Amino acid sequence: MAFKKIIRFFILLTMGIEISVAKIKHKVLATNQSPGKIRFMSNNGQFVYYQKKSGELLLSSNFKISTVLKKEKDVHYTIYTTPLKKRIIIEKEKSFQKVFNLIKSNEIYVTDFGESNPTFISKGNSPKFHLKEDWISFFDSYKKIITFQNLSSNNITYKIKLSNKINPFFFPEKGMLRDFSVIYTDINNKGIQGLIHYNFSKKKSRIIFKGNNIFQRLEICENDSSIFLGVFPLNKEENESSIYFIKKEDPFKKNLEVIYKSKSNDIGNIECNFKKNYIYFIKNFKSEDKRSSFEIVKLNLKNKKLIKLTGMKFATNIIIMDGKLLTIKDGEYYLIEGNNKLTSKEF
Amino acid sequence: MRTLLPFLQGRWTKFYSLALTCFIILFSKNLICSEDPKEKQKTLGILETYVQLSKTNKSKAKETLNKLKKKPVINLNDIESINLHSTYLRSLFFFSKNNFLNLISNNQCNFFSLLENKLLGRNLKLSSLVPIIIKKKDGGKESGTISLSEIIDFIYKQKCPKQKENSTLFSKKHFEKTFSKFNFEVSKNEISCLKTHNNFIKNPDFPYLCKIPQFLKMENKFLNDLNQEMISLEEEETISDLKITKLYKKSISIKDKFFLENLCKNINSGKKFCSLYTAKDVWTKVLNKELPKFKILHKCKQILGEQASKEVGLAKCAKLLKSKPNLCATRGSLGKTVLFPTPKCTEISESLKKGNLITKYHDCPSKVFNQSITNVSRIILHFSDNNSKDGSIDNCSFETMKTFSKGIYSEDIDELWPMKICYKSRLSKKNTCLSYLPGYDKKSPISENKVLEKILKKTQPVLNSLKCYISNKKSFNPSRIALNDGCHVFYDFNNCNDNKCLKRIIVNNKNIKNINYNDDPNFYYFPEKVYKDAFSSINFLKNNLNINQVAINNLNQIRKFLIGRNKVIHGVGCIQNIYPRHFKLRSMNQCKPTTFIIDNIIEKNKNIYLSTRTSIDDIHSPRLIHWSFIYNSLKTYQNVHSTKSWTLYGLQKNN
Repeated sequence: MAFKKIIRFFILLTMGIEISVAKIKHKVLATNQSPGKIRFMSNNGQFVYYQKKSGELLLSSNFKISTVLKKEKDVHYTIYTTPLKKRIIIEKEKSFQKVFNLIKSNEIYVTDFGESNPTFISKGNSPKFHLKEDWISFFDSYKKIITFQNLSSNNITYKIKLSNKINPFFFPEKGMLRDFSVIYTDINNKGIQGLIHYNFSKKKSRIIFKGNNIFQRLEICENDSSIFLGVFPLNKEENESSIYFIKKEDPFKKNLEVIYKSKSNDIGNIECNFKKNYIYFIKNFKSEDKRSSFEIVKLNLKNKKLIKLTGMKFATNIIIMDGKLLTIKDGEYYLIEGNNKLTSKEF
Repeated sequence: MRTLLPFLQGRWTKFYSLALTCFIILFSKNLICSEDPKEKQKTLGILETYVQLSKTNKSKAKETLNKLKKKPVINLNDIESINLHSTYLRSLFFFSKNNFLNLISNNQCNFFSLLENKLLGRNLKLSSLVPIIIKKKDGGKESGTISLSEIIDFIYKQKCPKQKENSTLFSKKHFEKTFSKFNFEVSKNEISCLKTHNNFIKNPDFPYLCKIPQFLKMENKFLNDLNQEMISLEEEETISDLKITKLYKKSISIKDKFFLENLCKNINSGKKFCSLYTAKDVWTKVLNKELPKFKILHKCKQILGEQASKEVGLAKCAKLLKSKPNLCATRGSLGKTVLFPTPKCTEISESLKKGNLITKYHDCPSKVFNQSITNVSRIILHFSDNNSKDGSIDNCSFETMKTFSKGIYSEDIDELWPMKICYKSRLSKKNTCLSYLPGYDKKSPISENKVLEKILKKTQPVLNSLKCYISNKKSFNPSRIALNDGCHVFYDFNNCNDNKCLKRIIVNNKNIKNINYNDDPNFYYFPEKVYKDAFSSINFLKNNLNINQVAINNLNQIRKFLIGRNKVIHGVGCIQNIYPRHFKLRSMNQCKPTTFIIDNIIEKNKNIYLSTRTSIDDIHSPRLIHWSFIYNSLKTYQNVHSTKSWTLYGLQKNN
């Protein structure tokens, strides 16, 4: 068993990273209006949700413009989608420029994709779709409660209270394996993060993974069948990053399958819903002169090959928007994978 | 003429003198009195042995002195040498500190200058009589007593001209001039530092310099002595000692005082002395007074409690922070109110060393609903001389709010001021709102208590002399106060929403319900509109604190700006770009704006880091954030800002 582990680790290390020597050129995202206004744009540009300066959220589709949420002073909208495009989540933050509060509760709405008839769901933050967009989860930072709500039948709502008393600015990662069965991250009283499974029908919780020290951050990315658990450093001194693979149908495997392990200070921010058999995350490429460089990489889940996609030095985020893999750097949106259906300029 | 001091002949090394002193003290039969046979059976502990020896030494010395006092007064003109009585010497050495004892063996003059500067023995008085044995010019020997100052004068005249000169130079009259010629700068290089240490110790001035920290430490003792009965000569001497102590206090800088304290404490160990100067961490630099105490004091108070307020406690804390870098990641902030984990001690130390921000208080970010208020309050406290009360977890958010309100409010903006107390007028039946500043203040007409008193007098049947008392503690227990009398305001814990609890007003034991607080402190941090006088907390601050704001657009400007003393940079950016490890960005134009202060730039391994405190960070735990992250956050925020404004500015006091 131990030998197998060593071999696997060796393979992971030696399979190497395919780093293209040639300078990577980045395309700027092509948009037909100011990118600062856009909250979501479909791949073909047919549906665009955008915010006007007046605080109005509008939908532009097939040359028609409709109001999604009425104008209001000092609001900011954020839109969350999944590749399924059945529904969209709208998070409305009031007093956007007047009250800076990272953990305040915002208004959460859901509307059908391409439609402009939002339904108010609740107040909270960090909303997310689960299980083919039939469920939504959100978090109340003050009460420290995660809510899982079924969107088909509003009566089914599950709540979990976190035990975190250490970090008031902690946003738990959330996932659903199936109805009644959820996973989430929490912090214990020593400050160590853990991934916890909770079964609402059995009212039982179980720890799936526990970090080694307070400097480890756990993040999850879920798609239809799997969970990717990332363990990344919370500060720049720690040098150990790893990604584990968990099958939704079998989350309690004794030894989680390691699909990536590195002695580097990666940022993480895994995306697992863009292309089948690939996951994307931010990796640290420290040069010989110790200069830090953070780039987006994609990991082939079959052969474990890592491909560097950017040469930006400081890529820190990955955004998936209907067939486009984007990143924002210095205020400009770049198209890393996918196609610009509109005209584009080069980086 | 010859002075006979058996311990002080040149051939005696430091070791021998010490060993002999110990030998005499511990084993001399004469020294230990005959004991009660019952007590003999008792085994004494170290402390008991010391106490007993101390008593024996004192009584022996007193006994000898009393015996010799009866003898006729000695005429100093008639003698060849003076020998201090061995009983006196034993007692003197017994009560002396090792570091000073070690200096004796090298030089006879040193011994007397140590005596002159009261660095040997305990509670030494130069006017006191001392038992001696003299050798007359005719060869005869005689014992008797004479004052210590007379012996020192005699020896200086005969043997120590340099010490005699020093005695004058360090007298009250010439002290300031003499002291100003000393250079107490120490090289950061260990070899040079050790050389400095050695030079000081060998210098005949050394006992005169060590008198300074010794006297400063004894100031209270001098004062206490004066309250007790003493003979007039001793009283005069104590008054003179007190005067010179006050002179030291007034004319010597904290840094020099510390240098002398460190030097005199570490006579035997140059390495120990130099460790404070060659150290590169902020913790040690605070201990050696190179950096101000506030840089570590508040962190240490959270780690060690109130003992950190004392020098010994602070030194203990500094040692801990240096030896356990992970400690800072979990401890040191006020309550669990900041982003966790905070950086390691090594990172904080790097940031704080040359950081410009003045932080003489502790705040609690998560307890303040509008986090930009924390930032504004930090800026106010940096640029004003006002000291915020040392925060406790109970009242820290209130202190921040109070600082913010006092810094921003002026009559010109009364209408725009968002913190109001509202009531229904009895006459007009209209709802009227008055601006207030949170908290109790005797003087300010718009303090919370004054505004409430004014409203109550208009709306309730109360006496004109009614006084309101405000309790802002979140853990306040109303049952503890007598509500029958006067007006009391406190938080109503059954009426809390998000992070805020409403307030209850009790007047003469009656709950007042028709007075309401309208106190949402909603402010634009930077102006929302482009024109110059646009409404924002920063614009008000600039006027009230007389500070100037300059736009910072690139790294070169940051480099240049932060060279200036007390200059800081502040800004607003998206937290997802500043801390991408803590906050994930998932959607287009997603942004959680946060304010921050930058007070230092560090270039390391070709990476450029800015010492940054966002308004969710512990004020005493800055993080080193890469410039690219900060720039990225500013540009992302600019994208979603209503006027696409740039939000990074330098702040400095107007001349």
